[in-house]
Amino acid sequence: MSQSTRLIKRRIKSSQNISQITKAMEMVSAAKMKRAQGLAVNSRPYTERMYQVITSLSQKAKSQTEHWLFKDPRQNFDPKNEFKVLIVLFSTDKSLCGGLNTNLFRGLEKWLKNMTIEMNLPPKTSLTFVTVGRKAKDHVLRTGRFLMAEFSTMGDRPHFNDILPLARLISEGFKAGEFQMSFLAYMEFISTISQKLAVKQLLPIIAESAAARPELTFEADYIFEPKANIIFEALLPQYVELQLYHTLLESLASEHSARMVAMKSAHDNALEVVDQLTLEFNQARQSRITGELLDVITSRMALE
Amino acid sequence: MKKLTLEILTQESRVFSGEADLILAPASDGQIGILPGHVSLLTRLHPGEMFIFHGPQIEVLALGGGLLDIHNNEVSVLADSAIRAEEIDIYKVEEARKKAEEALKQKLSTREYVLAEADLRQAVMELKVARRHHYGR
Repeated sequence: MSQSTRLIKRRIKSSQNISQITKAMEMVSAAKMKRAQGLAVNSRPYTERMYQVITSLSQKAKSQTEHWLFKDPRQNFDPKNEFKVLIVLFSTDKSLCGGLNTNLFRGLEKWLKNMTIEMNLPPKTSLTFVTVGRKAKDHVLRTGRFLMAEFSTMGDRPHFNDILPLARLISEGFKAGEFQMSFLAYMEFISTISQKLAVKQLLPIIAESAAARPELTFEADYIFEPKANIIFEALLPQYVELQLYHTLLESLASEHSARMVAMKSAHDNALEVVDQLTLEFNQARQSRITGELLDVITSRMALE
Repeated sequence: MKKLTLEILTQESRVFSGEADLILAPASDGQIGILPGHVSLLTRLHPGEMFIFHGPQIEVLALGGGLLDIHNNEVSVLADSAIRAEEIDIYKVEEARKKAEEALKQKLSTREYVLAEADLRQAVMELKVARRHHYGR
């Protein structure tokens, strides 16, 4: 009997240790989450406005400027050639963040299955991957796909400059025709308890029709200073960088949120286990005492 | 009288959001003034000072380059950096300037040199804006 109480005691101890560790991790994640969320949310208006300016101007300036980042390769594509699609996959470096990465990869696989039809691509398509984060790299290698480049550990405080090599790789690859289309796949931050998969087209830049967004209708005369094509030349690469940076911030906010929630539930679970084990321990102790009492009483009665 | 609605956004935050009667901004072809009813315009901004006049108040900001878009009396500034004059910490900027100057003296790769030079230009510009603001009062 004493053997089992000792065993239970040890298990209580280890569960308590786990609860302490998860509590600490929860608090660390909470602090990181707050910063990451702030960054992601604050950079949203800038990124969205930049997108608005670019898309609406591309409407106006189409006659004045023709830029390679806008060229839609789906038109006039020779079906005999292979249509290459680049997917930039953002994941975490570390695990212990609940189902975040699992959901990301599962959602991505589902999306990839329907990609050719939904995106109206030529039948012969091939996939190339660029990954940010170790888990994404592992997934791509495990599924046996072609990994062009991997960027791991941008850190918890990514700087805008950190994204530049990735942006250059993508822009130049697109320019050189190494791939015809590029998508971003990441976990979009919605709230602390909710993140969902987002797949966005990065290149070519989609110029949404102005009719679809009436708040963006422009007057006929628009002055560009300096010339439109000079602005575009500078703006479009910057747009790619900005999109990537924003995506990085979003996926970081998702990561820390998911980790905090996961750690919180792990902590709660550990406490529950401790409660249960304590109950079991008390019962075992009580039954031992009862047994001993019985022994004493019976031996006493035998003596009388 | 009609007014302009102005929004200044940076990567990190919304620096300014409100109405204005007149805006002076450092455009790529020189300082421009924007009054309500301005034609639609998209222009690059150089690092420099930006003045926002609203009634009797004048707000001064140090801009680190960016993009300015006007249509329908809505002005949006997408700035690489923007800081209000009264928020500039002179001592900090002075330090940054010294650091950048020192960095320029050392032998650097072209990339580092360009970065240090940009830092220096930013610091000098912020100092100018802050000084004018502080002495102006």
